[in-house]
Amino acid sequence: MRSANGGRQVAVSDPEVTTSPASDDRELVQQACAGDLAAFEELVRRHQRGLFSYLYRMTGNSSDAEELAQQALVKAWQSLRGFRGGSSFKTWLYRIGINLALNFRARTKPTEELVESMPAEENPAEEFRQRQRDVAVQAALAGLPRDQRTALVLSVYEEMSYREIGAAMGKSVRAVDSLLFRAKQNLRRLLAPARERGIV
Amino acid sequence: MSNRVMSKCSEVKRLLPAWLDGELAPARRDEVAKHLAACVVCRAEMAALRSDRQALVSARVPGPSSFLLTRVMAEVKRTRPARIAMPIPALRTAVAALAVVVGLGIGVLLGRGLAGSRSPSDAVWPASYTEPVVVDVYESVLGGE
Repeated sequence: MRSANGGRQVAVSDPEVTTSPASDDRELVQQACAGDLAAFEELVRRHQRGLFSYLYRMTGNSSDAEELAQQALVKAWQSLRGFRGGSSFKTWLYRIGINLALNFRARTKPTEELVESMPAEENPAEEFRQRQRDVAVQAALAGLPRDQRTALVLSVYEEMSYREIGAAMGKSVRAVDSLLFRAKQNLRRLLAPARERGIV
Repeated sequence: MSNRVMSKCSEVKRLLPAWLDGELAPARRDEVAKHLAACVVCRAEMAALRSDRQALVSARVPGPSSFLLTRVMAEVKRTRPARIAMPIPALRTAVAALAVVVGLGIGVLLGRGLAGSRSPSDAVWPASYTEPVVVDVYESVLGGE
């Protein structure tokens, strides 16, 4: 799906692009390790949207998310031969992205850029409500501690299991369970003002 | 509401997020489901959790620009994977140890070679050479007092 918005694609999810059998990924990784650039390009195609989406939720703006996604993908290429296959390629890639996001210091306020980069709905009233929703959700996410936000984003948007989240974050399943419990409690509080105003 | 039910409720509330995420073991899952069927308070909590999740997924997220792939591949073509991994950790350790031994060996050989050569004072300096003036650092810093 294309928009007239700086060449950006907008969608809540795109299963055709984001899902990829881990076994296929492994084959592509092997080919890429042998120097097959087309194989690595296919890995980028498969995971760029999911990785970008995660980084967008963490940073709150698309230019920072894109810069971090680029760094993560290039870093993945550079250390591809260090990938042991103990987890899926996706989990390993997200681990790189998570580390970059955790060390990242935002240059702009998280919700500032939302207004510019989102596509317009045809119905102006609905577009207004949707923008309010986008901003409220992003602000609520930004209000969570980073590790809670990371776990929540990976769970809700990337639909990762607790085990996968643990592998990506370097934490135990029990720790992930605890992070998500607290994240959801905090989220309720952070969304409350928007809920009272009927935005979400 | 009895104490037993209350404690069960707090237990179930703690488990509800994992229950909704499908992360509970079957026995626990059934226990929570049974409790939910009988407890209106916990059902309300479950509905609230679902509503929060719905709020999250209702927010839009932009996709990456069409240039991301191009930029990544341009960078990739300029670089190579950083190192060739050695599959066996013991092999890596052995290689590292060998490198240290070789390094030490070279160091010893070089040391012996230098000991056998003339000292700098034996060197024949050009006639114009004059001994450099050594300035006392402390003196210069403290103003010579």
